[in-house]
This record gives sequence, structure tokens and C-alpha cells, in this order.
Amino acid sequence: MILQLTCLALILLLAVLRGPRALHRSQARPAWWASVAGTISLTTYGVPIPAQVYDRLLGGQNFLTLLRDLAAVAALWFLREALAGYSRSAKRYAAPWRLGVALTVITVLFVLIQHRAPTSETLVIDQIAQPVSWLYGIAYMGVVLTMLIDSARLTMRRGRGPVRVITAGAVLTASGSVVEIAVLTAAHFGWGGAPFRESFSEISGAPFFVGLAIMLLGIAGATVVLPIRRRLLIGRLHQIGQRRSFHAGQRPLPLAVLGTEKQLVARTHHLLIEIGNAEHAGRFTPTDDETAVIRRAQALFRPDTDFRPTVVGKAA
Amino acid sequence: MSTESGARDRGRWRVLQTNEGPRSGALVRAADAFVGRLELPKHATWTDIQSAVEGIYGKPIVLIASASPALQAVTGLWIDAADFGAVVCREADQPHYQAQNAFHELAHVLFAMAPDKWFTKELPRTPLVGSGGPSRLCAYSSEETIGLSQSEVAVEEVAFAMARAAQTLNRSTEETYFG
Repeated sequence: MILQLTCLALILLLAVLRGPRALHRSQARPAWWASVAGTISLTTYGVPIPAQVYDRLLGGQNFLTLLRDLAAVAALWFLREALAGYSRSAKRYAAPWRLGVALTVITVLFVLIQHRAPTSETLVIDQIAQPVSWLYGIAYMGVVLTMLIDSARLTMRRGRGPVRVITAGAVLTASGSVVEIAVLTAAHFGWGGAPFRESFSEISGAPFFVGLAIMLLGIAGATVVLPIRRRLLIGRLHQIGQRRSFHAGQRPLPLAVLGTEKQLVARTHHLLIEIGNAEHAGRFTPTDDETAVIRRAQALFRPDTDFRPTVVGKAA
Repeated sequence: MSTESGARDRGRWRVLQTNEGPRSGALVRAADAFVGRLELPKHATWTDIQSAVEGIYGKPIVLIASASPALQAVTGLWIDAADFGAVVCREADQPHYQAQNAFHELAHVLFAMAPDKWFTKELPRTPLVGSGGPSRLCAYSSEETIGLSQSEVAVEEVAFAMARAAQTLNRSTEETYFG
């Protein structure tokens, strides 16, 4: 339960933080929809709404389990879309009809499970003797496994930084899915006896959720860590300006690195121009460290490809 | 196009700033409003800004980067020819620095050509140092003669406002999809 709640807290935070950016940029949307669907899935574990109450709202009959699984499948589908967009591979986008087929198959199998009430978080294990319950569990986990493997394949070689972390999480979650499939199959066919099944089913979710938490930390790396690193860089640039007295009377460092990204871009540009002016006037010669900071700050701007002056006066 | 010695006589030189003090928030806002009158698209490019200024100027503007080592003491200039204008920056400068200097020269064009109603108390139209009007913009101005005049401060602030309209953050692919 702690793992699920940790994942819920992380994914909810990411959904809120990434909302404004997803609103403005289409590339950011798949990962945001993944976080929204993931949030829906993880709220079915009893927090913040008790499972019985939640299930009653859905009409009882353990539809809470179905909601959890459908939302998880949707979340992974959107995550795969985000990773596919990132990897820019030729066959990167999964056809939406595949998601439709997967959700339909899972729903049909769920509806065919007998004696679904009362509300239980372990419905599939409770009813594992029914072939359809076993098939439901296998179908759900199979879809999850396929999407995770596909996602990991897309980024295994090309992923950098936070995407490597997401890929590592996907691989671990995929291994958790394999364990879950094995446990469900063993339980259905009665292998290992009841005590083995019970103890194994308690721990089998751990790799799945640890992998999920790692994936979320990877996304958090891109959402939180990269902007913080950018602000630290701007802070260092500001310090260079302060140390060399380019802008006496300007805002102190803490305020310089806060603000919207538009303000930060403007501030960075202003600092770079001040530094450039001082260099050209012979008032400032940057050290190697300062040069590295200045170069990294210059790289913060997207080059304007329209700015292409005609070069004249080149020495022969 | 003139030679550089000719340009010295005919071009308006941008001097390096030496002692910039704290920027006035009112001036920054006035500069943003001034550039807002160009009705640029949300994510403007150099071409958008150049075209908008050409519309006010009434002549095409040629963008040139001088690779001449003789262009040492200044970072940019505007040459006002009869049928066109030329904005010159230095090829040796970093691209963002070149762009700022080119924006600065475009701002000079606007200060000379924009309608009176564009100017406000915070951002007044200031006479060009050593010039009698657009046809004679071009007297050489040294740091000593121009210092950091109010005119240059205002022009530079408009250049910053143009840069703000054009610049965007260069996000990594990771941040684009997951940030």
C-alpha cells in the first residue's frame, strides 16, 4: 500500500505541475494524459476515497478493479506515445484502435467473471479458480507487458538522462508483470499450494510498483530537475555579473532565478549582452569556468534560423 | 554598399555601453508596448521583426555581418541609403550578440521613422546624436560624444523588447516530451 500511495502522490504532483505545459504544447500532452490516467488508476487503492465507497459510486460489482486496470492500460499507452514521439522512430505511433481492442477485450473478460461482489482489491486472485478470471488477469498483464516492452525498445538505445530512468523503470515494471502472470497462472492451476500463492501474491506487486515509481522519478527529472538546473545556471551567470559589477543595483540572486521561463530567458539574454558588452569594451576577460557558464547559457536559446546575415569583408 | 571607411562617414555607430545602471520597470514596459505596435506573431522570428520594421521604414533592409577586422570599436551600424537600409553586425560576435546588435539598429530605424503616437513620456523620441534627420543620420559618434545617452538607453531597451518577442528557450527533447 505504501508503494501505491507513493506512486499516487508522485503522479498527482506531476499531473498538476505538467498541466500548464501540456495545455500549450502538443508534444507534452501524451505524458500528461499518461499521468492523468495513472492518477485515476492509483486512486482506486482506497486513498483518497475508500474502495467500498468508490466501488458503490461505480455501481458495485467490483467495477473499481476494471476502472483501475483500464486506466492503467490507458496510462501506459499514452506513456508509450510520449516515448515514441521522443524517439522519433519511423513506426513510432501505436494505432489508437489497438488501445480500443485491448480495452474492449479486458472489459468483456471482466464482465464474464462470476460472483464479482463484494468489493475486493484482490478480485482476480479471489476468483482465480474461474478460467475467465485467470484469462482476465493474463490479458490485462499481457497488454501491460507488451506496452512496456515496446516502450523500452523505443528508448533503450536513444534515451538520455531522464528517459534512461523511465526506460529502466519500464523494464522493472515489465519484469513485475511477468511475475504477476506467473503468480496468476500458478494460482489458477493450483501449483505451489495456497500458502505459497498467498505469500507470493503479496510480494509480486513490488517490482511492478517500484518500476512504476522509477518511471515517475524519471518524468520528475525532466519536469523538476532540468528546470532547476537551468535556474542554477542562470544563478551562476548572475553571480558572474555581480562579481564583475556589470549590473550593480540589479535584483539579488534568489529573485533573479525565480519567475516565469519567459522572464528567465529575458534575464539571461540581458546578462549575456552585458557580459558581451564588457568583453568588447575590454573590461572583462572571463576565466575558463566563466566561459563555460557563458557558453551553456548561450545554448539556452533556440537559434533563430531566420537570422542569417550576409557575410561580407572576409579576408581572402 | 560602401566600404567601411565610407560607412564610418555614412553609418550610425552603436557604441558599447559602459556603465548601465538599474533598468527602469516603466521603461521596460514602455519598450514592450512600443514593440507591441509592430503586431508581431506570438513566436516572432527575425524575419517577422525585420518585415515589420521595413513596413515602417518604407524600404527593404539588408542584414550584413562584417567579417572585417577593421570593425573593432563598434558592434553594429545602420546605413540609410536612398533605396534601402543596411543593418550591419559583426561576424565575429556570438549569434545572440549579433542579433541584439541588429535589433538595436532596427530600433534606431523605428526611433527615426515611427509615428509620433508610438512615443510616450517613458519612451520619448529622442534626436539622433549628430544627425539632422534620416537622410543625414550618419555622423560618426564616439563613446565620448554619445556617452550612454538617454537615446541609446531607450533604443537598447527597445532592442531588448524585440529580443524578448523573438527568443524562446531551447528545451532538450527530454524536457519537450516529459518536462
